[in-house]
Amino acid sequence: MCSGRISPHFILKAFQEGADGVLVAGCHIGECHYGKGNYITAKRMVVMKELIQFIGLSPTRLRLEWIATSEGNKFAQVVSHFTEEITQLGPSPLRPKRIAKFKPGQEVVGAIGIR
Amino acid sequence: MNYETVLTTCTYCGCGCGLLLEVLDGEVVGTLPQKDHVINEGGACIKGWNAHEFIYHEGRLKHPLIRKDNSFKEASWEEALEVVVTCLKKIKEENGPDSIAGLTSARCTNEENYVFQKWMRAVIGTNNVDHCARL
Amino acid sequence: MDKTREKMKRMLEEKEVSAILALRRNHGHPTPFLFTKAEELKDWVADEANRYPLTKLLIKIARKHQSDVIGIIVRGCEERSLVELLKNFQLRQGKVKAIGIACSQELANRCRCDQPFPSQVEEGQVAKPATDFSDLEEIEKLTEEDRFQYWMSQFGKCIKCYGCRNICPACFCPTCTLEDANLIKPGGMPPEIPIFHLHKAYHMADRCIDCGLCEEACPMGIPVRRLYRRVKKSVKDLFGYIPGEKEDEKGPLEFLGDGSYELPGAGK
Repeated sequence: MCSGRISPHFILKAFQEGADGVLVAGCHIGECHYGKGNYITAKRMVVMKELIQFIGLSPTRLRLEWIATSEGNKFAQVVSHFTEEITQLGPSPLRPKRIAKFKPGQEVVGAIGIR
Repeated sequence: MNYETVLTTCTYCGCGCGLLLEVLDGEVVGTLPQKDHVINEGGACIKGWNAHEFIYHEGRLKHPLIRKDNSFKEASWEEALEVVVTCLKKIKEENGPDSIAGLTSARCTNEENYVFQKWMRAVIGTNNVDHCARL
Repeated sequence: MDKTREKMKRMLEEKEVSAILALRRNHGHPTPFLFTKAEELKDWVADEANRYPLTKLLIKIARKHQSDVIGIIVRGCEERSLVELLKNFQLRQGKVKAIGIACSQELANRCRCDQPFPSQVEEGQVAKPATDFSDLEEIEKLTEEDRFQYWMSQFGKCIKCYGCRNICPACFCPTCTLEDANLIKPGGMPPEIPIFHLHKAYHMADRCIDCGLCEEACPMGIPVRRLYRRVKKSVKDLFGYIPGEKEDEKGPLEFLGDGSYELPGAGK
């Protein structure tokens, strides 16, 4: 399946379900079977990273790697490296058990409305 | 071509949010919360946002229906009221007025609701009156 | 605003447009109205405190009256939304005539608007753009955990009214991600957070025209605009794209891509 098929919504869904990290792997740039699938993925991922960073999820929890079908070794390396990184970060704050800690109404910064 | 927005009050609950109904060529096509209303200040809940939908809804009841053999049959107002009167009378005689309760609608006018509660208290003789918007 | 009123009158009388969508004073309240006769224009107001998504309302009218040219009074943000809607084929090219009005400096500052004026203004002083990102900086200087706590407490207030989507002058899809049962569990209050708000935020990345109507429409006072402003800022910094700026430029995050292969950042 093309990495361009990975809608940002799937990534958000994974985080919502309590995933500690999301690894998106696709064909190398310039080798897309469909022409420009992985280019759009690359663009999306940077915006996604900034978005999850802004709401307080570490952007390291989302990773984009280009791994071709024949690069079995690279795949193994990337996965073990990524797992290590995530282990260091600890479980995602969006895990159902941890999310219960955050109650609405505990405001850190007062809301600035434009009204 | 005729488009205007009509100021109105939300019919769903007792808050009384100000809404604007969008009327395009005589047909209500949408709802907007009123920006300068003192209560909702430009916001509305999901019911308010969709307050126009029931107007042309196909599920809307337009005729009285009477249940016959486990299905509803269209009936005239005379027939329907006849059934209501006989049934209510029977229940009141057998089980007393407090076995009857009345539930009114927020989609009626204040006056209609007043008349209904008056009727429940004076004619039926019970205080069991409630309203769908009593949140 | 007399000059603008004169212009509207002239446009209606000379049949340049068949109607003009603007705000009318109705029982003392400014409400959206379609002016079709010149004499109705005496009730026209350019109210600053009560902005309505006029361009979005125009879609409904224009769909029903496809052959008519309809005028519309636009501020800076509304013109940007008009461009976005034309770009996405929600309105027809040449069937909409924009009449620009400028915002006051006070409104521009309050909105933190970076372009508080349309391309053509009939009269009045044009306000200076406000380059105030203090609302975003305030959050960005928090630690990661505090930021998460802040947003979760804000999102937790959501009553799922879909107001931010309904009022958004850049949202028009007939099927909405926010109503997709596979992505967001239906029912429940608050909705699944933060996914509910992040879906919308991602969609707004190359579409948000930064009008601030979403935040005004939120009955719970969730600062959703900050989210959208943040992603809008990323898209601007990374790809140099500003939604609603040019009509012939497509968003970098369009579903199939615009064919440009330039990747953001240093060769990433």
